Amino acid sequence: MTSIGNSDARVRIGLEIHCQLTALRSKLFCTCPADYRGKEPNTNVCPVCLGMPGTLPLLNRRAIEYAMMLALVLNCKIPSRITFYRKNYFYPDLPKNFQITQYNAYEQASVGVDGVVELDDLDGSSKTIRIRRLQLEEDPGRLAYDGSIDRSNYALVDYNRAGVALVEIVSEPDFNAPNEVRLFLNRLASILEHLGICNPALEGAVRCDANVSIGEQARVEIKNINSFKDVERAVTFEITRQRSLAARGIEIRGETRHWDDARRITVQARAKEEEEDYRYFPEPDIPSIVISSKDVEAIKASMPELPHARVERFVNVYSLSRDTAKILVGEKHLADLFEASIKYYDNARSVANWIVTDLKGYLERYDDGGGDGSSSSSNSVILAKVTPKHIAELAMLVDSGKINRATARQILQRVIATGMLPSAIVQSINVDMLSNKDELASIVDKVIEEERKAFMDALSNEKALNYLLGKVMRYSNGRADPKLVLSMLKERVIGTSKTGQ
Amino acid sequence: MVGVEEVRHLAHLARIGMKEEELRLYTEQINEILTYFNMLDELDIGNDIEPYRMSREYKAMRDDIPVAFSAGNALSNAKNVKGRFIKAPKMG
Ligand SMILES: [Zn+2]
Repeated sequence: MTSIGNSDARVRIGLEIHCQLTALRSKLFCTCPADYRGKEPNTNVCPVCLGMPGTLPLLNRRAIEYAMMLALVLNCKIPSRITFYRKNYFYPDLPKNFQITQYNAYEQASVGVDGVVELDDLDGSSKTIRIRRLQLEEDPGRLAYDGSIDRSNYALVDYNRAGVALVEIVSEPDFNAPNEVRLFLNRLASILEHLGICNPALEGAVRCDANVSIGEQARVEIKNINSFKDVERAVTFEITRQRSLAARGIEIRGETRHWDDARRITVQARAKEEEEDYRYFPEPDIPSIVISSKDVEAIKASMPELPHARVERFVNVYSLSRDTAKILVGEKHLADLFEASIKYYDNARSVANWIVTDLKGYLERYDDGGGDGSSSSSNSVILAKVTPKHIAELAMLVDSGKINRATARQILQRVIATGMLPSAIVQSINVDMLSNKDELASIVDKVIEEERKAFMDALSNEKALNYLLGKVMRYSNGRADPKLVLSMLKERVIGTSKTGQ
Repeated sequence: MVGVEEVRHLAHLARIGMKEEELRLYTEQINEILTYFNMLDELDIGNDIEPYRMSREYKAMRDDIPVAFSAGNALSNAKNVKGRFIKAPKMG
């Protein structure tokens, strides 16, 4: 097993990831709409998700299908019979005082068990992450506080989210470094997007707990990490904290800590119940669900194209480099933009390079670090404005030599600001590249005239040409084709040396 | 058989406050109830009986069609409300 980055075999990290099945239209056990976001508190509820006595939970079939898809992608086995359990605990966000979830202590009864994910980075090294189980469960409600949590003496409960379908993925502690965790979560975000079952960019749609231990020391759980991006930070902080304790000879306590995303540290949390205190027992209101191998085959057949296959297709059909294909597919919206853009302009490599270098570079500069998964919220605003037609036109304008790359990048900014098509912007600001030799000649001559000394230097030192080139670019307001200008300057230099002026 | 300490722990998990004499009383009652269950162990049910659990084909489950609940205000029976929120004790 090779490792990635600054991996340390003594460091062991395991993940517990919760993904809301945001593509579902109704909750897991009742018909309340699954989209609770932006609604007035306690308006998206019914007697079932409020846990009223005498109500009967009815399982959403599509939730099982989505969970099975994810289990299959993570190479899990799917038991022939899956069962729901009650996990009993008292907390105000849980209206029934138990959560309907799954449990594997008596039998393998969760949607998926014993999966494996091959983690490979762009350098081609790889390692295997084992998935212990994948299960379906209901999301609890949400707690709010009057003012700060410390000063308020009660909690305000909103049950709109209660009963929304969650998939929980539990990994073995197979990660040895924080960057492996990041690679895995990026991969998972891309899989979720490609399956179309969860939109990781939605606030709270993906959450993660992590456990960290070093060597023989006790294991520390970190709860409350509310974005994939923060998991790497939280784990890095925790490893550093444990190492510095160990360096001072202080024993590490097995405990639960919370990730404080404002201060970017982990803090000690209240002692939670022990596993046996949850008094799990089979949920009597929901039958065991029988899943045949035929059902599994049907689900497999219904699955959309997955990231791995899409990379292969991009390489084989469009002759993209594997690295470029992986970057595109790593963020589904980029891959989608690529495929839509080449319908307008069929130079696939050119379009791909545009998205991977220029557009992605722009997005990274404007990334607000918020949001989640693959793209931040401000990025999605930008991406909403850049259409396939925009990308196709930009690539086409550059390839045809009408504008240079630097100008094209400026045009991209105007596209984002105005939504105008690049060809229209080119006309409106007259940035058509000056590629007419006669037009350029007058500017070149003017510069040589003004910068006589630099020109004479250029006779013996070619580097001085860059200074002259810069001048020409400035006089032409950046419209000159730099390659052409350089060759014209060289011609003048050679001409001058020959005539001995 | 259960002891007073186990019942005290259960009371804590259920967030029920109990006095010492109540704990003793309930421990006694719970043990009485458990002895009834012991009678089940004496039943002869043979060896080849699988524990019965209802099961259904997954295809028989509910379609994913949202229907919002509209039969009134879900908060109308809640005693402690603030605006549209339900007030609950803060957990330490
Ligand atoms: Zn409901």
